Amino acid sequence: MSRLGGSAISVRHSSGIAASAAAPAPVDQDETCPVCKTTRYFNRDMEFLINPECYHRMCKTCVERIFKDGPNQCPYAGCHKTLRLRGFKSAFFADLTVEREVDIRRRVDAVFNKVEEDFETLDSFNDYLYMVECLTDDLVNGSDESRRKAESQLLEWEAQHKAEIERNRKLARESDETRQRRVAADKDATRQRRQLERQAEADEKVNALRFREEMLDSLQNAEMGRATEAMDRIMLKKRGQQKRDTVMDATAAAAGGLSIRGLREKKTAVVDEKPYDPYGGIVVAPDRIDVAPEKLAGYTNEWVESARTKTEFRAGGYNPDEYLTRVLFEAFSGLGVFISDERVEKGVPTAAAGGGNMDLDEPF
Amino acid sequence: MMILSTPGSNSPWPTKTSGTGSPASSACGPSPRTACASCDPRPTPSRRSRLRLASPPIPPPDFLTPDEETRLVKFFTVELIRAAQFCEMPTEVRATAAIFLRRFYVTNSVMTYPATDLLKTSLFFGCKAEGYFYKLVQFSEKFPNTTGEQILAGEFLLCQGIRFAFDVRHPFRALEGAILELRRRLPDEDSRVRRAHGQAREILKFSPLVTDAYFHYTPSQIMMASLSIVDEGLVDILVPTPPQNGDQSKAKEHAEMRQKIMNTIADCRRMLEEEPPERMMDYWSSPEIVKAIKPLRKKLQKCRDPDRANLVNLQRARREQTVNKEKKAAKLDDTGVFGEELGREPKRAKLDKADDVFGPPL
Repeated sequence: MSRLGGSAISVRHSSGIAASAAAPAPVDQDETCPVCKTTRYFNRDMEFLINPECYHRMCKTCVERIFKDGPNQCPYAGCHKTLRLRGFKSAFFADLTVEREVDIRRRVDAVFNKVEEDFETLDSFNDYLYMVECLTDDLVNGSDESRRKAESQLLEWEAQHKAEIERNRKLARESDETRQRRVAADKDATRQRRQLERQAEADEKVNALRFREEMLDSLQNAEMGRATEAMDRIMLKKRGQQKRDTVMDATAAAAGGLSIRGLREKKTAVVDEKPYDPYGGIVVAPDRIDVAPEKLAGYTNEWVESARTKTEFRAGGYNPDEYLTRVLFEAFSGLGVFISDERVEKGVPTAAAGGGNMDLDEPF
Repeated sequence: MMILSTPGSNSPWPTKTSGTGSPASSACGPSPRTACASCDPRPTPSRRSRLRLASPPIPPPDFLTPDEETRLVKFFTVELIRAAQFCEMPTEVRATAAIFLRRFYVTNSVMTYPATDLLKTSLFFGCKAEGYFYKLVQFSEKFPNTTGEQILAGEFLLCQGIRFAFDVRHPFRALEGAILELRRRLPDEDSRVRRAHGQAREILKFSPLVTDAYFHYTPSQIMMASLSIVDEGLVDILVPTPPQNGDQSKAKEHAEMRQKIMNTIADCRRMLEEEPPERMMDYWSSPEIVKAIKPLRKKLQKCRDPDRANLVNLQRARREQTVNKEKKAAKLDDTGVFGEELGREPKRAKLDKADDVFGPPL
């Protein structure tokens, strides 16, 4: 069901179309072109085309005659639509109301192309589907006013979510492709399996034949009265062969060759554009002295320089940045701590001042 | 060879060496219930007995005044610094040992425990605290008339005296950080920063150790004060200025804080300027100071606690008492156990009663 120009449809619907489109088609609609009144009797290959602008049918000859030289008005009386040659297509459904509804649904689906995975809960997905269905219904069966409203909503939505729609379309296309690939791979595997089975069957047949010949040969060559022994030997050989075969089959089966259909595809991990932030957005950079490694490179003296450049320092894993961080921390930590503010005015009992109480001599 | 006064030379109670020289950490037994003649005016039993023996009653000795004690502690701190210089100890060890000694004498008197012994002990213990390990034998050989046992005898006492706070925060590393920051900010004034670095370090090596700066100011404040003595402009650069584009209330708050920091640094500077590093040599070379300290030491000889003058004997007595107590506990099983239980109660009450940031006295 390929259609030409499906995506190029202009989206305006005027009043009056619905009425004419909804009207039951006359019985002889397939026989006479309403524009040029040609009947099938005169033209065996007559083909009717419609334009989704107004869904008025006319024969191919009329379309080419009227619209070859560029856009023109619809030849139907009272229909003032401007139609283009490019927009014409043959109707898939005999009933043009159905044709129209299908067209509208396709258009709405192209715009509202979210899938269930995009929603957090099933309820919200169902709400979304309901909203889309209401909009579609407005477009298909609604009155003039509601249709216009729905139309404008649709256009607005399309304009606002252009990127998202494009992305979803791409995803859908991709998943379509992968599904097709998987189906093709399945088919291929089945074909190969069948071929292998056929080959195995043929091998088995050849083997059986050879055994039979061998048995007959040995029976022929065996001494008189030793026939049972020869038979036994051949049977043993055959049994051993069978055992080997089963073992080989088992290993082949274990190695793979099985395929399970209908498995859900693995989801690719969601990749955020931003790197993971363990602090959750809290800025931990110090206010005053920045001890980031690139800033620490600005601090230098002879000793730090030698620790930075000489191999004997660096080989042991010594990092002068740690030293720098520590000395800078000690230089400024505690500057705003005032011991005099914390002092409580009271005498400190010393050994002598404590009344000379020698019972307190031994606290431990 | 430097000359240090040792207990052997200035103590009327001769020292005896005992056979066992185990570390002091095992000496946590109870101390003998002795009274300090110097600081306990009430007649306790032991004192009464001594009074009875001495036929003409001895008048109470002339005690040191607090000011004289402070001067003596300062003198002994300088002696410690001198000894550390003589032993070629690193700066951190020297400073830690000096602060240990000063912390010890915050809650104890030089009249109670002999500073000449504790000076060596704290120097030795300072080595340990800073992770600079010195062999005891080698260490005691550096000093005249000193045995390893004498040094170890006061070790546990010192630990108790400093309340087992072995971590001393020094301003030396802070100075390195400040100098690095200054060199980054003033790349064109290298000679100025370099000179300030050397002089400030000299100040930090001496002035804060012999004053009370470590007790009143944080290491970075002490460091800033020493820098401000050398070059006041550098401190102005270092102390963070209020941000230019911040809102008004915050900027005001910031400015107030900065002013407070500058005031604190100025106070600390005043304290440090009392003891500039140039005076270090004076303590043992200038005749006036040596002469001034001599009568004080003589006075100390007369008024100190005779029972605690010899730390070796004191420790031995404590250890013996512990052994005796254990023997007694072993002999009377139940009473030993219950006696122990009863004995703990008063101790707890005693600990509760002494409401002091440093804990009860030793």
